[in-house]
Amino acid sequence: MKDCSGILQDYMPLTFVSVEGVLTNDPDSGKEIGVLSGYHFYWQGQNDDELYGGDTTVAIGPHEAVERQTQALLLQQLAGEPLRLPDVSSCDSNGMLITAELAEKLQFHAGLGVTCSSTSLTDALRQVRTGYSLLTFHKALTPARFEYRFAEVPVAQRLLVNLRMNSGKTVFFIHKALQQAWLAADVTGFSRDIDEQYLALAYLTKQKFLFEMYQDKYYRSLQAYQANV
Amino acid sequence: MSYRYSELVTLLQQSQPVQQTLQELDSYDDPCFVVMDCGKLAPTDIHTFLTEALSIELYTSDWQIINGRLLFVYIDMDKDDALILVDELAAHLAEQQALETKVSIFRHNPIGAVAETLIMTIMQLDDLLQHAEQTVALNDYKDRRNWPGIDRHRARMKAEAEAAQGGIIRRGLGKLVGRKAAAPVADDADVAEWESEDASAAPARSGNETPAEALAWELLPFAPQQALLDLAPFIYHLPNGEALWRYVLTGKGRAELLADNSLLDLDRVLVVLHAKQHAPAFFAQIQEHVSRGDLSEQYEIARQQYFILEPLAEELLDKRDQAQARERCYLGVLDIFFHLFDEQLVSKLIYQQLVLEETAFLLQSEYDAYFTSSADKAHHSNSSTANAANIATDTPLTSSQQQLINELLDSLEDSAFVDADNLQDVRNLHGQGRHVCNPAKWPLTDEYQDQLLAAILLALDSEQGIDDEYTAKLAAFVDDKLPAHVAAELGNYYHLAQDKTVPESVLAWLNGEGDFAQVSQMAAALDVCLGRSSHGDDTGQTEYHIFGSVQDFHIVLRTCFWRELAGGTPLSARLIAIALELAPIASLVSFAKLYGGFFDKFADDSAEQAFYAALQTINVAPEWVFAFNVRAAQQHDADQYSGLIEQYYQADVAQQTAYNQALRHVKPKVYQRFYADVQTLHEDFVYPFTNEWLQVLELLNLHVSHTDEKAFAAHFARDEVLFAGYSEFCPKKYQLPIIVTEQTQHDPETWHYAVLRLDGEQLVAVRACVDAEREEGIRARDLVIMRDSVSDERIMAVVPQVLTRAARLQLLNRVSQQFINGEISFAEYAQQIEYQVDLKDYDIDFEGYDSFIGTLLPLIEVERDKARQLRFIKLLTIHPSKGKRILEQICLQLFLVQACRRGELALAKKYDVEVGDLSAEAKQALRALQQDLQQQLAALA
Repeated sequence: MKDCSGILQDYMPLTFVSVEGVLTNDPDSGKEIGVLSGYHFYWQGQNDDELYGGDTTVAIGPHEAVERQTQALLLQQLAGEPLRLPDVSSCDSNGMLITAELAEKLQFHAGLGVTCSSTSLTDALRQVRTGYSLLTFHKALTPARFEYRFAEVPVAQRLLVNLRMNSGKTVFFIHKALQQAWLAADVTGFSRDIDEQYLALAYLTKQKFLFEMYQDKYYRSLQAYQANV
Repeated sequence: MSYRYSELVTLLQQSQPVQQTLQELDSYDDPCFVVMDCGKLAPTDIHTFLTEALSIELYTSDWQIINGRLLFVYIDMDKDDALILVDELAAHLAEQQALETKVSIFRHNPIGAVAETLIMTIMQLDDLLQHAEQTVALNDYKDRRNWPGIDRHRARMKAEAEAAQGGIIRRGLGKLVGRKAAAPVADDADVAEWESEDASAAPARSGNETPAEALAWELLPFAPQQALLDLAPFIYHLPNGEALWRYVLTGKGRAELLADNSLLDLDRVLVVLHAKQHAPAFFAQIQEHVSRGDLSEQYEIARQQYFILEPLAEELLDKRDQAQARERCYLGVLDIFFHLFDEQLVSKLIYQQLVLEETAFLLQSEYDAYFTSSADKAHHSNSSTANAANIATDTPLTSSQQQLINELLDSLEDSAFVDADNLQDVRNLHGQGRHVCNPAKWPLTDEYQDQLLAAILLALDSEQGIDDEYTAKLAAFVDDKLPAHVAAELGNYYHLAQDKTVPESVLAWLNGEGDFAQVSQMAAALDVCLGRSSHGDDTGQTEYHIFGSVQDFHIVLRTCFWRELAGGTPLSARLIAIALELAPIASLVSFAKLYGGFFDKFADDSAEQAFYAALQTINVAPEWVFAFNVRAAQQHDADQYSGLIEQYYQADVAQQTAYNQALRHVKPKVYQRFYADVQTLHEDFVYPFTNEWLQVLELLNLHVSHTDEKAFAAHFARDEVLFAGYSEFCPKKYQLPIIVTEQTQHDPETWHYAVLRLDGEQLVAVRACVDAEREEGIRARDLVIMRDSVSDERIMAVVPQVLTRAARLQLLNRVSQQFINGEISFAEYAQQIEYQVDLKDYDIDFEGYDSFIGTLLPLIEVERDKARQLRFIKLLTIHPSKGKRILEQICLQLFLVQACRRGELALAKKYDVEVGDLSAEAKQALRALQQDLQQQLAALA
């Protein structure tokens, strides 16, 4: 963050790309129809009672599954290929769904209050998916607390952190080292570019809402979505 | 033989059709569940009565008959319909001498879980089966007057769940019965009782304690009680837990714990996971106070810390023996949680508990020593100030000061919900050194609240006689922006009437041009520009949009108020003056917010005194203060209220006139009650406003009048109309294809409702606004669906008889006024309103009542012309069954007025007493009054 002098200067907000729409051709009418929307990728724990402490497998699914008819159409068009899911995405208000492969490479200092749970994931087409973990950020530290307590902590143990701004907002921050590594590895699901204004902590703090910081993406076809183009 | 409770549960829970019906519902649906034991009556007979003979139409799920005798259905109905159903069904069962038939009706929504609502409905039926005389029971939270609550059922469920589990589940009650966070719950008496049982339980030493418990027994000079013992394993299993637990028990060893970072490093422990693993009882306590979805957010647990630790506080702060040792123990626990929560103490209630309230045992400095973060301590020690008492003015803000300012700016941005706690926070901030009074260092929001915070700090400077360079910085910061903020708010499109702008002359005057004495003239010029709601009385308070409780204008107005307390500027003085001229009470309420607690009550006596002292500074007219006081005292202070009644009654005519003018600016329900109370205590007093009833009656007519489709349907027999109402609410069985035929009468004017006739599996449009472009072929918001036996001719014959809504209201207003004035008989009135109104909507109070218009009950109470009073009552009690309940309510009120006059009842009780509270003698007298009135009403033909 460009207006920070401590360790936060090496971080930037981590924002996820939200899939807002995927179109495909309706075989009956020949017209383009919307088949997938943000609700189909907005992950939620399926059991309200569950406490995600890393000691249990967490059932996760989208806010909404597609309708049965659409499911049949999409499964047919996918021809056995699984629906592409982003490598990283948000889950509930303080969680991050991430490929198990990426999660294994991360370590978190205990003071960050992060747990990593295995998942039982069902996608919007009701297909069971494996290979995803859930990072739960039980804490959102104030920027000052993070600066104070983590300055001496090795970078490798604090690559991702959840910080509390005012007005109850929380924002994930990613260390530049991890951002570079993810870019190099072509990790999908997070924004590669972020507007300059969001790189100032004072600006982030002042904003009542930050939804404009998050990127929406639309795809002209299921194939385009699968290829992420 | 009547059913046993367990049989009822089994039969209904195992009924496939019942369970399928229940699947149609979720937690936010709001129907009433009905379970009946039909006894000797055939279920079909009851079904026939409810669908054909009831005076209202019921919208029900499919009726399910179980075992040939039990009946289950859910009904979408409002409070009034539910009461009518109860009254008419009970009367029918009495008539049939079917006292063994029992009907349990239960509103689903406050429970939220379908299975639980069903169980509670069955429990209520079980209660009925034990009582020979009552046949129908209703549990409807929407009817607060008669609501029995759900505590008893909840307690029974809890007991049964515990019995089923074969052990005691001491806590986690909310989890056990699935309490819905947002749902209205019954009074807290049960819960309080439950908790106090826990708190008072003093377990005896068993001899086989855990090490943590054994230490507690050994080291404490008092016997440890349950809440502390519940917490013991939580602390004992923390890293270096034994030392931490010893510190809690003895108060010793803190320095060592700080030195080896045992306290600081507690931020590596997640409270909820640790509790779940090591201290199940404490975990259950957390679950009780943190909603399930928030358990993974440690901040939410920190926010609820006061409530989570409340049982512990009761054990340690409310006892006299060994008070110091108990306080030390409590402080140790809080110290540990402070560090667990990343050195944040986010609960203001804990601060108040430790420093301000009766339970306080810490000085501010001692509090600061415990609850200042190590980052802030490091910051302070690094500051190279020689003057410890006055922190160097160029010192940067600490992170917690920045945090506090952030939170304050967040809070002050909220127009409606700021309170004395926020003012206390500003005082705390102000006390932290002059450097905090430099807005240039604040995390500014560039919104109005920045200036409000500065204005309050400025007023605190003034209060404490401080006048330095920081005072000047604050004043400049406020004064630079205030003119633009005032102009922006007055010029805000949403605050203005259509096509109006605020005259430049008003803005110039506000900024100091011209004479202050022009305030009335300027207020009049502003008045014509401001947007307002359509209702309201010209002689009373106009409901300006700009004074709406959530409008940002209040932040600017409050800034002027605090600026004025710091000496003021022409702008602050003039904006306050013009605001008081336009909406005096709304302005005073706005100013009082930062002195207030819950529900507009002052936070405490000192806050109240400070507020009135402030009002003197800004020269508020005494009659406005009087009206403001009436409003507040009526809600919160019976003694002060009685004093105000006397003050008013004893005042001379000129003073009373001034008070009357001021009272016109509070809500009618407040002044109506005030005047009724004056008359209760002083029978010779005459209500000062005439013709107020006209406006109230107009509102009542608006409420009772049929919508067009209902007015149309009213011309037909009930079984001829299958549905009449908003198309979205049309029952599924009538959601059929609509056919437009050549015979369909196209009416482009009445597009809002269409008349359809059921024809097999389709609906034929008889009269509608035809629109070929729409899928359904017609445009209609509302539908009337007629039975197939109703001919086109009959439908067409009725159409011209249906008045337009405006004509209907005009008719109702005219005939109701004529009736009240005694110009027409009741029979004529009843004949005129036939087809135009829904009789069951006549009521004293109803949903959507315009709070800027009064109600009829106080007007009936103060009416000195008895014949006219009787006509008002006749009008309100027009519905055959619901009218009886309304009459009961009116009689009770008139009876209580008499009781107050005879000195048998305190005025403060006049609105609290229910029939059930009365003595047998009083009940008899009330019945006599009611019978007398009933006879008089019957004679009023």
